Amino acid sequence: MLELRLVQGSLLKKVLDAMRELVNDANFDCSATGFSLQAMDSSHVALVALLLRSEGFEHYRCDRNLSMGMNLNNMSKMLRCAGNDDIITIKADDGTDSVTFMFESPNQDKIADFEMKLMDIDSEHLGIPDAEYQAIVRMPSSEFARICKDLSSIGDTVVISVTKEGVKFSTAGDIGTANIVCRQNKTVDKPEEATIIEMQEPVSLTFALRYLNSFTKATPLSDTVTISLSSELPVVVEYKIAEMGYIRYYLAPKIEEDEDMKS
Amino acid sequence: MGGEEAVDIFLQIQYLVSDQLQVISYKWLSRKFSVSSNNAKRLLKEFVEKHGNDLQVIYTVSGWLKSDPQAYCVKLASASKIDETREEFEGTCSVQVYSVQACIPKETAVIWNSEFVQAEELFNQPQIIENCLRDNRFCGVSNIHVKRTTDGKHVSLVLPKTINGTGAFQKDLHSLKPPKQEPVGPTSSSNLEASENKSEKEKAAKPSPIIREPSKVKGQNGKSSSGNSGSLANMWGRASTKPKPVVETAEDVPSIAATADEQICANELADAIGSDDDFSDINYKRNSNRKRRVVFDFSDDENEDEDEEKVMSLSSPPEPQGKTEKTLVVKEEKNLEDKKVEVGNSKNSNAGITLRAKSDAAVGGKGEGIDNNGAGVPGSPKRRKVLKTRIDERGREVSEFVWEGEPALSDKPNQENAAKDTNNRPMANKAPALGSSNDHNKVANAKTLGGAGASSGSSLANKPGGNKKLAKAGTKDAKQGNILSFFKKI
Repeated sequence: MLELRLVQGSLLKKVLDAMRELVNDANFDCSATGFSLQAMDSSHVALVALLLRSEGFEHYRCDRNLSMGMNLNNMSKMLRCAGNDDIITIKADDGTDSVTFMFESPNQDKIADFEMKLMDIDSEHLGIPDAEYQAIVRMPSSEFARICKDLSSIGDTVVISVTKEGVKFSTAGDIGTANIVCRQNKTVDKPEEATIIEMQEPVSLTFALRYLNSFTKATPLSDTVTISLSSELPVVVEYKIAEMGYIRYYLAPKIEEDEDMKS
Repeated sequence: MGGEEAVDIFLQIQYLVSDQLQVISYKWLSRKFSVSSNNAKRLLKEFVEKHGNDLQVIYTVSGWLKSDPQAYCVKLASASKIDETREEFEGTCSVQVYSVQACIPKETAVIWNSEFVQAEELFNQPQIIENCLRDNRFCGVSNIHVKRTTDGKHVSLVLPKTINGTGAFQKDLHSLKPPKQEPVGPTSSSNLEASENKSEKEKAAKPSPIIREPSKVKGQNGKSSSGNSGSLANMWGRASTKPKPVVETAEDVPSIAATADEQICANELADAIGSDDDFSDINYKRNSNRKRRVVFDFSDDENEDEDEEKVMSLSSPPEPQGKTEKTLVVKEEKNLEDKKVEVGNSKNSNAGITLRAKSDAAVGGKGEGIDNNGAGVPGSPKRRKVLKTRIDERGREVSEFVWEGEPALSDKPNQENAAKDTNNRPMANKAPALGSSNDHNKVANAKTLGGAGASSGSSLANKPGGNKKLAKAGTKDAKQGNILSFFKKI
């Protein structure tokens, strides 16, 4: 028996919108600790990890661990039927192959039930080790989205370089090149507008902008984004979901040109 | 009516029924020959007596039903079922010929068709022309508030009635149902006739041996589909061209004229569609409605090339697999006669292009006979021919055969060739032989590269001279790390 009641139903919609461009089908894992998901994109270049902790739900009941395979686009279709202020309850019974989304309007005068068929998905769960990152950049999520969008109109890849001065995003394409430098800036009125760089050592990595642009679909979930870089590791782009958890994207870097030459 | 006239009418009926397979109802006959309904019925009866063996007859059986409460009813019945039908009536009932036809139509609405078309035509006549529907001369139902003239002088007085009548038509048209003709239909002045008309309406709702199915009128035949094609005419904007003269004369009822003319026009259009090909405007319209298709067939069976030098100078961006020969077939689907454009686009490691124009003037006479063949190039990779379909930038459906497979073991010669090609390309663009066929070449090349890029990105990536984007895509794939190499599966 599973029953998750989320007062802020629109949050679930945003979560789905943040993932469905990257992943088509995924298993949602429900346990006593929370509602989570881990899935790779079809090309195995990026990985998304979602966690919604049980404390974030108004009511959370999960008798035993349950994995529900869903098509994210279909789930999104159903959730789109919910009003923005609706309370969403996710229900599933043991042994059934469907999940029910219940939408209640804020003043309880409308209740809608949507039942969706579940699917069997062979998912490869990856162990993500805790790692120390060489550089961690926290910046406004809208700013990051803007940069990725702008750069993708120039080139296909972005080089993210973190130095003491700041973080530099650069790209090159047929029409020219672009460099955007964001300096550390802690002196702002609102903390969410700050750009904070914690750097152990300078790092520079190349990524496909296509994926980064998919990641920025999570921008509505959080005002800030945290980008963690290490030269030997995939970048982690994390959006915190207020008081509930996070959505983290991992993206394998592109192998550097000179390394390619050597090999 | 003189006997001679009757014989003449009989001949016409015979012709229409047996040759044109038209349904001749008494209403149609009455309007056509301007005889009263009763006379028309009598004529039909005589006709049936003379020629009854060769045709099928539908009778109207009218009288009081046995059912409770009693109702006056008019039913249509075929000759075979007439006794059966009669039993449903209380006491005596009148039996009259309703229509004659070559066979009992499967679709009952057919019975209405000719009648309906005729009524429409009559209403579509210019205001000043009197006809039996306008002046209601055969109708037994009259309204003292409606003044009619038969001399054509007080047309305006006739108008309201006509408009009402056609109003009904229009409504019916839009709902694609058969028209209610009773209110304006020609009927004899006898009370019987009048009551029959009224009850005919009732009959529509009641089961009868022959049930009219109004909703099926649409698409019955050319004529009845007019309601349908009328909307087509609207879409194509053709309605405005033909009806104008009529609209001018009938200014007072433009809406009627417009609807009717659209229909007629649509009918004409439908009829003309097979033969109108010469008119560019019609062609244009039809094209807009059709899917065009381009088939690029890159096949390997071109003939040997004699002029390799020339081919090299014509080179396009290098063809990834190096030694594919292509035949490019552009096929546009237009109506029944397709215009076929066959462009032989033969390529090898030198990426030569041959355009062989078969029938399309647009491509005709361009780049003819630069056949080449590099089939002899050694180390050709394992390939297979794959049919791919996509929508190209001109909105056409493109089916193309592309070679798909692993790159050759000996990639080096290919690379060299490719490099050569790139060097030669500027020259190639200047080559006069290419002429206006350039566009087609580009399309073809794009196709080739696209198809190959999808299938063998890695081999592309190795080639310096390839299409930039594809090269990029290829290199990206080569350089892009895999998340699985960082995280282990649990």
